[in-house]
Amino acid sequence: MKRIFAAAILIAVAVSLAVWSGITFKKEMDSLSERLNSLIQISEGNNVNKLKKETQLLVDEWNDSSELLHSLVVHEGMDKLEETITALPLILEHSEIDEFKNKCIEAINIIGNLTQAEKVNIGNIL
Amino acid sequence: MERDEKMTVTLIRATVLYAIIIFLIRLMGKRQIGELQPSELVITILLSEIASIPMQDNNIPILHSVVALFALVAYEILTSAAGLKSYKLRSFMQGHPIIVIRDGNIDIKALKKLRMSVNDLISALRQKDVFEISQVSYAIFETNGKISVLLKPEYRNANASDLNLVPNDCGMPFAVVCDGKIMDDVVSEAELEMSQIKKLVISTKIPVEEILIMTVNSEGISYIARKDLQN
Repeated sequence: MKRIFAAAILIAVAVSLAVWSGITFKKEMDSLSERLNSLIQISEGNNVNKLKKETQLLVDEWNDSSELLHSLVVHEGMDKLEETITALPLILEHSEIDEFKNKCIEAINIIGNLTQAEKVNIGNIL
Repeated sequence: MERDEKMTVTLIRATVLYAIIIFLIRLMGKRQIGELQPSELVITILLSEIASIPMQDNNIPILHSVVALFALVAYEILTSAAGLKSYKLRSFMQGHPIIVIRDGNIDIKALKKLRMSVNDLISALRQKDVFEISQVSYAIFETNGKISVLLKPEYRNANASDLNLVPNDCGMPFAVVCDGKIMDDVVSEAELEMSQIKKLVISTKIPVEEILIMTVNSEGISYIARKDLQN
């Protein structure tokens, strides 16, 4: 009876971990995606100061959540996203605004791919 | 990340996975180690594979493996528990024992069903110290892949009852002292009192620290060895 109880706990822990990681990942990705979209919008208005401030906020958010995200998702995809997001302040400083915008779009695409890969669907299961 | 830090991460991950695997194997019970049924064999192979992947590759989160390990062990425990209640499930998960020799005759159909050759059968019999098929009354392949052999009565070893003897039953010997220490759990399992054991130790005139092993049965000390005599 003790073993069955332990097995039930194991299943509960496994399901909780799976559900929690799915929700956490999606929440973090949605938030990053939203920030990146707003950066694109701001960049179209040529408000450089606001853009710098918002970019720094995005990098800070990434730094806060990257450890957790790395514990949930295979690092390869996360590393690409990390490279792209952490490069944004430097691109903003030293490159054209269009290049900055392209980098934001690239980050959004990576997030889209990562989110798609984590979804519970037949494609990912099989 | 620095190379030495990566190695530390690998070390920590290996330690965590080791602890989890030991916990899960203990949770599955002793049967897992001794005699593997087909489903247990599958689980054991899967556990080792799943645990080794994040141990080798730091890019894979350890949580991915933990979720799979927990789920597999839970399924194994639940199916084996359900198997105790349902014969159908048990026979589906473990299969049936198959009789391959009856009264000295090999059942070829049964061998074919097992996809075994006669050579495999003879080899399995030899491992049970049986070299003559005609001596076998029944040979059964168990679900864990081992063969059980019942010899014809005339070829079985004679035992005390065959000879109408009534041997003295001293019960099972319990190792109550091991490596200079009285084993509390063994003493209670043998349904003995600690004071009895201490008296027996005193009667040997050997300090308990110097005893390598001492076994007792219902008649008293059945075996004792000193540490210094073992070298």
